[in-house]
Amino acid sequence: MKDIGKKKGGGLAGKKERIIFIFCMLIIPIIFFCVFNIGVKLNSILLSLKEYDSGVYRFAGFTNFRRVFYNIFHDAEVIYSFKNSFIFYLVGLFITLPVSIFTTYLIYKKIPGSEFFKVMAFLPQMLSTIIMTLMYKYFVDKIIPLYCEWRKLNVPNVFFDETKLGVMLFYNIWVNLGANIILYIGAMMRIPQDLIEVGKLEGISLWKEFWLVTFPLIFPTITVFIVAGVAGLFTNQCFIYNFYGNFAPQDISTLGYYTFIKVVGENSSLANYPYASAFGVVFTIVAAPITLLVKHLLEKYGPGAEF
Amino acid sequence: MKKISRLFITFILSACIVFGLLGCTTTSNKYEGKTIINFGCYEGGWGREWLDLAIQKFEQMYPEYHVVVDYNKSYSGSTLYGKIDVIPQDMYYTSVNLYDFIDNDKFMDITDVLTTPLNEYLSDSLIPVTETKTIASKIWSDMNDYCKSYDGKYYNVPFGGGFYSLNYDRDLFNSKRLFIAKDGSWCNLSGDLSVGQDGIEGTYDDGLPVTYEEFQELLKRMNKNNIIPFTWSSINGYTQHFAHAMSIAQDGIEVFNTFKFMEGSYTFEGDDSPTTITKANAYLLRNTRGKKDALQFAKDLIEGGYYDSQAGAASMDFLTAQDTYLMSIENSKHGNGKPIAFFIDGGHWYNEAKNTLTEMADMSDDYKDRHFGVMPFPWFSDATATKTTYFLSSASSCIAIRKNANEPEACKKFLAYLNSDEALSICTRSCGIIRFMNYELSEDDLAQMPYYYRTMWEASKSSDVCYNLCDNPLIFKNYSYFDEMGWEWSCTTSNGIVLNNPLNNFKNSETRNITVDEYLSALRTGGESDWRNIYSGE
Amino acid sequence: MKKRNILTSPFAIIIFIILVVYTITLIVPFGWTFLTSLKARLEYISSPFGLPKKWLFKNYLDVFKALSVTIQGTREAYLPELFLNGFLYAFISATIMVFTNCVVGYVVAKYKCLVGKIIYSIVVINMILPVVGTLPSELQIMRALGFYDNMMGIYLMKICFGGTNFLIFYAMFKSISWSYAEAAFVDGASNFSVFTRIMLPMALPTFFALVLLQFITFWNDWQASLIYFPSYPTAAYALYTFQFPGAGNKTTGVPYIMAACILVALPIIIIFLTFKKKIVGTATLGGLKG
Repeated sequence: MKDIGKKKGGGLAGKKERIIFIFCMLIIPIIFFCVFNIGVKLNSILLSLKEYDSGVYRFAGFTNFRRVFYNIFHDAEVIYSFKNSFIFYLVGLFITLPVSIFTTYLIYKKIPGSEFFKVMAFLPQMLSTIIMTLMYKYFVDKIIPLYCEWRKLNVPNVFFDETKLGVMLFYNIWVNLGANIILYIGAMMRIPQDLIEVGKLEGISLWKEFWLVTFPLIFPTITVFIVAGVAGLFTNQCFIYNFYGNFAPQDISTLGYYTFIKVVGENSSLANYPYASAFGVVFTIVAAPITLLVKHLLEKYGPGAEF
Repeated sequence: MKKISRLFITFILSACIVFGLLGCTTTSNKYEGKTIINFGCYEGGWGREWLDLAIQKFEQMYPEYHVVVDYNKSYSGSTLYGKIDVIPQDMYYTSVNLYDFIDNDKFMDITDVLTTPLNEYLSDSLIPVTETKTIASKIWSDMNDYCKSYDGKYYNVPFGGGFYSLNYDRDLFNSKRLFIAKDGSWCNLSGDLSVGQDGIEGTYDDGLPVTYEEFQELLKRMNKNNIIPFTWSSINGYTQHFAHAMSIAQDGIEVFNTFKFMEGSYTFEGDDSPTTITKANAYLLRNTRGKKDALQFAKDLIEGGYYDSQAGAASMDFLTAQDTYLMSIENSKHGNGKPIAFFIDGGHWYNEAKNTLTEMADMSDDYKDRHFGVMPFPWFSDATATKTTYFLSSASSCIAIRKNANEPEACKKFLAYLNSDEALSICTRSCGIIRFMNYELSEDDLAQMPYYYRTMWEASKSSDVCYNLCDNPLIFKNYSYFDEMGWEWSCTTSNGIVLNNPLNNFKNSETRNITVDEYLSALRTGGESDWRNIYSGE
Repeated sequence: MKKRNILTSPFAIIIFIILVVYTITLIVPFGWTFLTSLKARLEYISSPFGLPKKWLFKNYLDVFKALSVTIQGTREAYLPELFLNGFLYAFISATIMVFTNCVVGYVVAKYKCLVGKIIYSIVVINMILPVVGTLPSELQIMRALGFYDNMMGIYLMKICFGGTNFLIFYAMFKSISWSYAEAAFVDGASNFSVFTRIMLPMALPTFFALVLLQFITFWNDWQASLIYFPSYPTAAYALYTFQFPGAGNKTTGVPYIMAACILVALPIIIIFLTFKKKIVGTATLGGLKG
């Protein structure tokens, strides 16, 4: 693999061709990457320092950031958004994640009907979230009142009363569980067979095998999930927009939703762009170190194994 | 199997492409030789029957013209603004911020159409027109001032708005004896009905509650009789307008006009002397007694549990809500829920529900001739209104022609006809709308109309009707703010809770514990800061 | 060696029950959606649960005719066009995106050079270090370049590398022996022809599998049309708008919405059933939707 150019019969011509080849292959992707990845990120910082005034963006110093920090402590919707985003994140971490790992392990160990379960796990992933949303919304909006009437309970307005956080959390688990199962099944299937054979020969129980072999080996995948989740904390709409469109009740808002509707849909305006960008910059400044720290901690104290 | 499904996919994909391409081609024109009037009709609650009927007649009067209607949601507001220069449609039934359109030269000056007597303007019609009035002379006075407030010229003809009242199921009232007799007892339509809010016997409001106390009794009686009083859809605007209409009905048209013109005075609760209202402080009128009463009404309605459990639910779009309301009587017969008495929506709901009404008529003879009516808002003890008062929302709906119309003359003729007395009565007859104009309906017209339309017409004729537009620039320049954004109810409490809709706010868990007084004080404090944005534009 | 059965411990049984319940919660709403889609509008009001009195397959035909989006310009786009829009968007975007990753992944994996190292680090850093809230900035740049609401622009923007697609290609090319290439070089092949004649054919199965997955992701992404190209609505986006009824429209009501859901889901269900093995196999490599 070393010095391919030379092997080709060498000389300057080969090296030159090699450079030209690399250049041709990479130049366009790199240009687009610079504009739509790096450029977008840099522009986001610039944008956060501007304000919109009758058609043009003008430099405005740190006004947007002042507004962001003021709202983080005073604006009810932003405070709700923080709270909800954390709740969604924690539920993902402490319910969806463990449940999906254990269920995946069962499927992986070929319990009866595991192929069927696997296909079912794919179902919510194959269909557009809008389809899942509509089915869930209309179904739940009818079934919960029916249940409450049957149990002679107060019938709630499901997506607007106290029940709304519950139904949204359930929806998140419902949709994400399948995605996680797919992810971990892949990780488990990549475990080298000989490691498992060793366990088999020693006659350890399957749960012991899980803790000694499977879990440490899929831990990198879990790490990726947890680490990516930190960023998700600040960007996930948690499907709020799919359900409520532009006008969600403020106490169900998440950080992702809050910044999204500032930029897209009926509440959006070009004047909101800088403010939303400032939020993004603040989140990045908060999220980046946390992510690195989490990654560091998981790698240091997690079960160490690479494959 | 695999092969078959692959073939199937190939088939579907190629079908998509073929159909997609076919979709791009246009159909050929059957009306060659005729001048085409391309009409863009906003797909709102009033439907298009009014327009189709008028076109039929118009094409008899002018065989050389042919009107093609595009019926679509996008003919309104900023969406129309964005596309008006590039679409083939010359003429619109729409709802717009008029000043934006005139300022930017989007609408045609139609002063000549509005100020020429109709028999002269339409003198070349095959069927002679006898009406000698001008259109301008028929437009309601405040609305007329508004229309020509830009530069004294006319650029649009106002249409009509959503009529807000208590929509009730008259058949249910009859069968369950919910009318009030002269002696105060409950009765059905054959009883000796009380005279109602207007004090006149033989009118649409006979037997209906006059005061809020009576109304409360009515609600209690409904509860006892296994009737759910109210339901409504998840559309925010309808419940907002409803609560607003309730407050206007308490205050009366004088207080309403004090705000609309921002001139006059108002004695606030607890004050000894009246406060002078000017443009600088008109926001104070967000705190009238009527406002408090409307909030109290909403609070009592929610706390009394006088509503359907599905009211305002996410899956209750306005049609599903209408269907639920209309079907409640049928479902209750099968032990499935209870009948619902009132439906909160603008007067256009009945036109929207026509499909359901027809389908239900096919279902059973009981539903062949249903009666729904408009009920005046009951008066609280501190109401200052002296006459029944209603509110018309969406006053900015209108008919207009674009500046660079391809067929200006044809469009103007059609516009003239659409506002002739004949077309106005067709309009009201077919969809119930009250046009913002003075015109009469014949006995024959009335006999053809469903009961609901008749009562709406009668109510509008015999009561004060309030609407948001006049020549006060502060109002019309910020019209979207006052009408569509529900400014009447939007505010934020001291701890940052956003309120915008009394009924839903008192109902939903997030804001359930807000009291009437807290809501009122949020309206007061929020009003001043909001006002600075509006008033600085003066 | 006795066969080890996992379903012996109580914990495993609880987990198993959770799995069964989860599957039921998936099946029941689907079944309900299907039954509802066959009901008459008013029948749904009377009995939202239970079997339809008459199985109205006609609902599907009605929805097929009615499901449309008003394009901001001047006209209605109906289902065939919406499917076409969605198909073109998903297919072209997926191909461009996967191809870009394939090319960049190949060069970075097989050619030792500084640029490659930088690209690899950037991709990794990009995946670890979250930069969030860049949507306004992205839209601003798109508007400036004329890419907003312009399909050519949208497609060009898919020339980006990174994420799992890149890593999968990177790992795959790393594992392919270079001796094939060396033999070709001896025969006088150029770098370019080594890539197109030798390496790319070997990568084709992965390539197609990733295109398929990416296609599904793009096809399902209903917000893309809302955010980036409102004038080219897709079927998924139409579904979002379809739930808000138009006045006086005969095809409004919950049964129609449910029928629309199934109609829009149909192509994907067919694709899934056809390519089940491939999708299940590849998706487990990197997961879907992200």
